[in-house]
Amino acid sequence: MALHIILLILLFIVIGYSIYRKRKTFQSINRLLDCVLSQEPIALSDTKEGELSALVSKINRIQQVLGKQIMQAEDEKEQVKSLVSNMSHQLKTPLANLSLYTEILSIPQLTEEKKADAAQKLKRQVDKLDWIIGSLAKMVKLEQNAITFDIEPLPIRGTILDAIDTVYEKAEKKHISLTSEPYDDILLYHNRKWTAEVFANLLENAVKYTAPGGAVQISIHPYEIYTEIMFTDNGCGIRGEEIPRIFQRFYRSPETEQTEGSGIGLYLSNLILEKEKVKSMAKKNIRLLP
Amino acid sequence: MNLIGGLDIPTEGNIFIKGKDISSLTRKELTIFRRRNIGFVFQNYSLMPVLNVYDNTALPITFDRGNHISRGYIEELLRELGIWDKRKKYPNELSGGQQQRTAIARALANRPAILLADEPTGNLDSKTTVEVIGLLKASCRKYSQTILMVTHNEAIAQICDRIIHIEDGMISPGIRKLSHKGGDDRC
Amino acid sequence: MLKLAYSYIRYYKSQTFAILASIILTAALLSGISSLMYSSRLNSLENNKQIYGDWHYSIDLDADTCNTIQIEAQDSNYQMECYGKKSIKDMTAAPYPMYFVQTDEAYRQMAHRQIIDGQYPEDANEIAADRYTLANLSSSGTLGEVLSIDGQDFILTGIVESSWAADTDEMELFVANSFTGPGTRTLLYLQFSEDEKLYRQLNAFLNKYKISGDAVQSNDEVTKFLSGEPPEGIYDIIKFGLTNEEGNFTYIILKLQSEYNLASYGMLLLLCIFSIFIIHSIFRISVSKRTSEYGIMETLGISGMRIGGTLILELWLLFLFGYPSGCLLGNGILRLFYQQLNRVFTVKGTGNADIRTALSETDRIFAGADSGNAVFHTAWNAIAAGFVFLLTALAIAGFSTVRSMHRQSLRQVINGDTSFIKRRHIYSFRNPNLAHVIVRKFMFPSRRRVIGILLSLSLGGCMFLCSAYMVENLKVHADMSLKSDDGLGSDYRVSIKSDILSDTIPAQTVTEIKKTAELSEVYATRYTLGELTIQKRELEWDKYFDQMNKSSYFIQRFGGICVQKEDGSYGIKYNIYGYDTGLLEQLQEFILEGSINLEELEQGGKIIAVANKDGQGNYNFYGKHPGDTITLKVPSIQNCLPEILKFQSPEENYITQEFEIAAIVSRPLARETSFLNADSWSNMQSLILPNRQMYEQYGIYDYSFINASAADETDTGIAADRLLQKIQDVPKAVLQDYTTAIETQKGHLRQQQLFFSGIAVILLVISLFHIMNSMNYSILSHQREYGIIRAMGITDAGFYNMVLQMGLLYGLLADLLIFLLYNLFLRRVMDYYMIHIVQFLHIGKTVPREITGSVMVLNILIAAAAVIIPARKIVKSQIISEIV
Repeated sequence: MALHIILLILLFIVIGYSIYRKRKTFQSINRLLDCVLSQEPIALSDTKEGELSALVSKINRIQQVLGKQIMQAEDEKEQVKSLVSNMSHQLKTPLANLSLYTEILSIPQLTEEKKADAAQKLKRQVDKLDWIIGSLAKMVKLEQNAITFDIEPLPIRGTILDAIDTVYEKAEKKHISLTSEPYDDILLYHNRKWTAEVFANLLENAVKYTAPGGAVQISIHPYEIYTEIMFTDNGCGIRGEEIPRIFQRFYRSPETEQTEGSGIGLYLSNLILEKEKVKSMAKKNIRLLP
Repeated sequence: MNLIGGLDIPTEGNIFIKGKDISSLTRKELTIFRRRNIGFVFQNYSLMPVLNVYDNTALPITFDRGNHISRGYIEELLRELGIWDKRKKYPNELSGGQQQRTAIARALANRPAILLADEPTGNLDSKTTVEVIGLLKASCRKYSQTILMVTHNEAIAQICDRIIHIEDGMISPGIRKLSHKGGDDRC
Repeated sequence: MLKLAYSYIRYYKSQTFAILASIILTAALLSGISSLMYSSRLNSLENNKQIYGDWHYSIDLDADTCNTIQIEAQDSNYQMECYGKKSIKDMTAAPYPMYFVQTDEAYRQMAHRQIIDGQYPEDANEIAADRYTLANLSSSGTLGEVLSIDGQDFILTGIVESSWAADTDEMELFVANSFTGPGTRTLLYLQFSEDEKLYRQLNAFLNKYKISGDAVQSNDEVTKFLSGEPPEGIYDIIKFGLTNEEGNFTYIILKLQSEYNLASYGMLLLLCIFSIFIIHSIFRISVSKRTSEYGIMETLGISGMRIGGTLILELWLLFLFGYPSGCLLGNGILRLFYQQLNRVFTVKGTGNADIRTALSETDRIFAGADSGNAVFHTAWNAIAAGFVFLLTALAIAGFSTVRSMHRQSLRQVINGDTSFIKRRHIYSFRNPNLAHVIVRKFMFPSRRRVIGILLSLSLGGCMFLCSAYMVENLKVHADMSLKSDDGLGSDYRVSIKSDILSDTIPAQTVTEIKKTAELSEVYATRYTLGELTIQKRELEWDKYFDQMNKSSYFIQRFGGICVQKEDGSYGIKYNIYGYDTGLLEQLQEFILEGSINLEELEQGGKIIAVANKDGQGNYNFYGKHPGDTITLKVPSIQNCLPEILKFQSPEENYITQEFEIAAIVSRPLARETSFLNADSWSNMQSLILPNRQMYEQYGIYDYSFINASAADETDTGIAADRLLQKIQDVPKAVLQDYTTAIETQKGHLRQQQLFFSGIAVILLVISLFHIMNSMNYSILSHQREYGIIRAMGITDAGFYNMVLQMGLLYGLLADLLIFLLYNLFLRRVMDYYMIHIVQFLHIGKTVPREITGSVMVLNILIAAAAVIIPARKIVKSQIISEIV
């Protein structure tokens, strides 16, 4: 009889103890998650044996990831702010020009020559506006994955020639020579239209930032797992510290303040290229090297 | 790499990971830290000969008691690396490339914060190498991991976000390439 | 090749050490045990010679042949050391049966009956005798004393060495050659050279002098050591055992034991096999470590034969070093401790011989040296035989290892050990702890290896338990046989030296003795002779009495032991003893069937029967069991004519009664020596009644034997003297003092216990090496994988934990195996051995729980230690060094 009572008491003790342990575990996890919510550093050690320590280690990582994401979100917010301000700045000039030229056009005593000249300049400004807003729209759509385009193995030569076509005039005007090494017309996974646009962008940059009489060179090197297409110019170049930033949104090097540009060209190109890479599931890489 | 992974003790100097000086940790703490935060891909695969591919992959997860094995994730890993249909085979029945892929899967299974890889694609053909590198990059982005790779292959090195050259045991201040987007700027 | 072997030995130090230690210990054990046995044999021989005389054969000749024969000592076929003659001239029956003998010097020398005081009689009325005889003649033992024997007077001229033989019915009086007497019996005693087999020499002698073999009697206790009789061929023994209906397995074993000393050789053989198993297993492990190297060597072109040769050379090198050292060690230690161990292997049959049948202190001093100074002899033959045997066995072991290597293809060999079981099973679904699974798979690779390790783990424990079991039962057996053989349970025994039923010890004397302060445990036994009537069909062992029926003694005195009557039933002569309550209680230990209830027995009508026992340890009482009745016929008066004892006289001379059997026992406790147990017969049939019944049924009031022991804290000499005083007035009463014999017997027992326990411990140590080695290898061979797991994040404590669990599992499994093996198999074997072959009186005493428990715990500890030590080595080393 006594034995039974002892066993019963033991049973109760065991049950009570396990309930207590469960409560404690719940409380400590609760506290941990609170720390994450309030972004406080966690005091418990993550290098001990046991389930709690493993949880602490994971929660630590979650906290870090969250922190990073928050930082990134803040960064992007900043970027959007600067985009808007940049935007307004960018648009201000063409818009001002627009109103100027419109005003000029509305002067009745204007000569036909002057009218035509003003109209032309007007049109140019409108084009420019159009391009800016168009690029912005593309950028936004690409970022939101609203656009999809096909990627096929196509000969690369055509795409490059397309790009060269678009830039040729501007290059001619500045007397910049556009050469390329002899290359095979290999098949690469890409989308002709968009990739051509990317190449065109690069070539435009090259032309824009090279002094008149300079040279721009295109070369293609196939490697075992990817093919490298390189655009080289002998222009003002890019400073070392800036290299990571050139692909950022609206980044313009301080040195280019004199030249026109919106700072979204490279960013857009990168987006497009990454899209191709991502979509292709790492079947082939197209790389760009400055 | 052995120093970073805590497998070896530096003769002088300190090693800081995530702001923590790992030489200040006791041996046991270091082991646990390693278990939870670091994944290894050894040069000679170092798989357990007595476990099949699936179990080898799931191995690091089971070191922490009560850790839940996410079957879906492991299946996804194995499928991406192309060894899902060999999951019940033993290492001595696999080719070198398959063993290496298993080792990589094993290192990724626990989603560690740091992955230390020693020539992870040394034995793979070009097609598989591309897939593996793609997988590594994707995982790295998704889980905010840091992957530290030792390789002699310049081509692979170019794919990475950052290259550190070591010559004669010293870091040589050579070419540095940083990421196009995102990534830590801080060294 | 030699260099390669030598460098391997130096490199794999721990393996070498393990193998060397095993070889040394085994060699020590083997040579030690064989030397012990050999020494025991030789010492027993010496002992028996002391007791029974140096002579080998005695030939019964008539006087003429004896005188005319010309004995040549040397011949091409035999060589005689010594020969002597003894003539029995006369015999007297009063006061005791004594013989007048004429002897020559040679005989006296051979029989150890030389004159120690005075001189040999020369005149016809001179006499010489030993102290025992003189004491029984109530002589003081002074020279020149006149003794009156059978009406004649003799002068005592010399005192002879006392006889040590148990046969105290032959008291001899030495007379001169001039003595004339009616006797014509002459015996020629021969002692041959012991370098050759005796029976061959005897045959040659008999052929030469045309003497028939019937007249020859051999000094069995001595000649049995020296091939006194041609041994039966092994083939014949086995054939007889298998084909003849009387033979069976036990028969084969017993015969082999008596002719060829199966037990000792068997034990040696088992030891050899055990050691070879261990060495082979250790060696296999060390070889499997190097299989990849051998694979590479073979790929380079070194032939398998040469590799095998290198392996065997390694083994032999170690063996050549280890075996002599081991022999030296074993023999050296035994030589030092021989005095403590010299009675371990006593040859059966010398139990009786240690009884000093003389008076307590006196004659021992006069009689000369003790038999305690045994000499240690080294058994060179056995050592050489063991050497050759082990050498060949090791060579075979080496070959088999090489062959097993060849079974795998070269590539597999280079790649290493892949001997685990492959299951197409994903463990991570069920087992949350995969590291545990890994360690388990490493340590329990294939069934064969696991069983091998388990066997060796359990072998040591099994052997220990077996020897403990044996020793426990040995203790009980020795205790009980001390009690039952010759009543050795008591210190003293008083008996009547007479073959007449009416010569008894008066009850009054017994009462006085019981009151003596210096004596305790005084039991008095009454005695009579009886005849049991058995129906023909009840006599199941019909050949049991054949030998006895042929004995002239029984026919002469009792008309035959087992006599068939006209109505077809049998009358068998039985001793009837009457026991005190004390003795009856002691009898409880010997019960085979039924129970001894003192009150029921006292009321009458019940009897206790002693069962018949055959040579193989089986008991039978004519198919009767407790509850059945027997018919007993007893002489109505004790003071009867000898004729009555033949039980053929008319019925009114006898009391015939029926008794119900209360219990059947295996032995009686007291034993008479003048009626049935005489003339070389012993252990004759007996029935037991309580003393009161002996009185009520047959009117027997006086006693025939008294067993007594010295009271606690009493000097045995004083107690003996007291007893002597009391029986002084009783005619024909003889005192036998067993105290020293009992002490010696106990000493032997202690020795045997010590020895067998020691052997068990040594065997345990040998198997320990094997276990350590296996576990060591089992863990260290996967050093790299363990390093990887540690690199991936298993802490040291976690690692120890895993490995320890495996070790403990091994320990537990081994315990289970020991338990099963021991209880199901080994105990049966040992019971069989003990009942039928060594014929212990009582088995079933189990090993005490503490010993079993401690063996189990020890096993677990050993297993745990065996895994922890290599685990420590792994943990201490740097992870990097393991992985790379």
